[in-house]
Amino acid sequence: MRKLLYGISATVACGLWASSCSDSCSDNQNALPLAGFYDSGGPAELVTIDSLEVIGVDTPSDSALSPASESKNQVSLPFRIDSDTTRYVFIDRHEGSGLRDTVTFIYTRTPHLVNKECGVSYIFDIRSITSQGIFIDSVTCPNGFINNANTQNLNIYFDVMSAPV
Amino acid sequence: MKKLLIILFGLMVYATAYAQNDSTTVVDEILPDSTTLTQRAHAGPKTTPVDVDDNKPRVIMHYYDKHGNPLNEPVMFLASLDTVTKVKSKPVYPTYNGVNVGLNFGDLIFMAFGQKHASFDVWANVSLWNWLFPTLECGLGYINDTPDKMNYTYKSGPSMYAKIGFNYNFLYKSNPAYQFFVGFRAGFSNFKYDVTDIRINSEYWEESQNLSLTGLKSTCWYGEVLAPAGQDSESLLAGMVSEMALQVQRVKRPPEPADIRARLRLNLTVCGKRVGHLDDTGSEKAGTHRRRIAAEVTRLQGYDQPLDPVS
Repeated sequence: MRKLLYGISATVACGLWASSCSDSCSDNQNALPLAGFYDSGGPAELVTIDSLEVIGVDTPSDSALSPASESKNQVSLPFRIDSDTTRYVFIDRHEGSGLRDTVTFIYTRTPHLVNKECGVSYIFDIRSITSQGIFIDSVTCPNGFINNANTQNLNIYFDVMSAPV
Repeated sequence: MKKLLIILFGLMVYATAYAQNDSTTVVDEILPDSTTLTQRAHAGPKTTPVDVDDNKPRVIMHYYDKHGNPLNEPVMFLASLDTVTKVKSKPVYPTYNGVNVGLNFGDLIFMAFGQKHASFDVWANVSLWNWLFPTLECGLGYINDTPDKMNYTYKSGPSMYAKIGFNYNFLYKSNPAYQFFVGFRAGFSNFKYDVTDIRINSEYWEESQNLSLTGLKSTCWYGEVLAPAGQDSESLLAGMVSEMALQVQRVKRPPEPADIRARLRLNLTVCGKRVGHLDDTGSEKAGTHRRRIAAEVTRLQGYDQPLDPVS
């Protein structure tokens, strides 16, 4: 009898605890790709890049996504939602260098009802990633897709000898 | 001879006089004062003094019992029977104690106040020892809701659901009219739904898209716990969706005529949640689940004569 009461109490407590964790969306409400910077020849640790400007290609306002004045080891790269291709230009502004690398993402978009709290967002299934330039060695998407999870899901490997570190 | 008689008479007189003189002396020695017998005859009845022990406990006689009823004769002690017995945990009601059937239509009230979802069901349970109540519920659910600050509208037509479980009544030895129980349910539902008015924006690219996903299907298994709660618990679980169900319950008990009860049930639902993934074909993968905790307070109304335990 006593064990049964303990079991019932524990079940109710666990249920309350589990339910209390799902009141708000702990992830992004939109799928937002987050790219981390790595040294192509070094350990798997984030590296900080100075004087790097990131601009989307064909943006309506030609505004920089990330200005060169900020040192950064990560950058968010929102994808276009009315096209299956997104291009970004990475510009080295170190001492007026002006070197440009272009990264192209090609993907498919699938609308996805995550849950009641997070709503509907896209899942981007990556079909290909290409980079053109000098200081970006390669770009990878380890999972092969990008959803609304609030994690880093793109890796950009810089050639440190050429990059504005 | 004549002299002899005179001598005997003289002895008798002397003896009498001597006897009277001797008794007077004894009385004088007993009495502290020197009053005469004649005077003491007028003082009152003769008393015999006794010793009094002040330390001796007083004896209290009881002329009435503990209920105030007079006794046939006074007694020194009132004995009381020891009526305390060990409490038995066994149920006092028979194995089969009746069938309860109910109709849940309380969401009509909440829909009138703006609630965007509702469920209506019929349920039945069997009272076993007034302790365990195996329960079966079948009903229809409906929703047409656009959550606040969200980018979609969720619609579902009348969709069937079924739940099976049991209630555990903590007051199983008390009057069946009053129950304090915890219930467990396993639920199942297979339904179609639409997600419309989807709005996805990209501020950086200044793009916006409006989408709709229609004809989606889902199979849902979920668990439910019904727990009694008071006002404190209600405030503790603030933000939960609440449901109120008015139920009419028909109770049949073999030894007694059927009677009608009206039951007011308050369900507090915690974080009803559905999780699903949309694949390319637009169908929702199995794995959708729903967690729900409901707190239930039961009050009985219109129940004038409590049911006595079946002996």
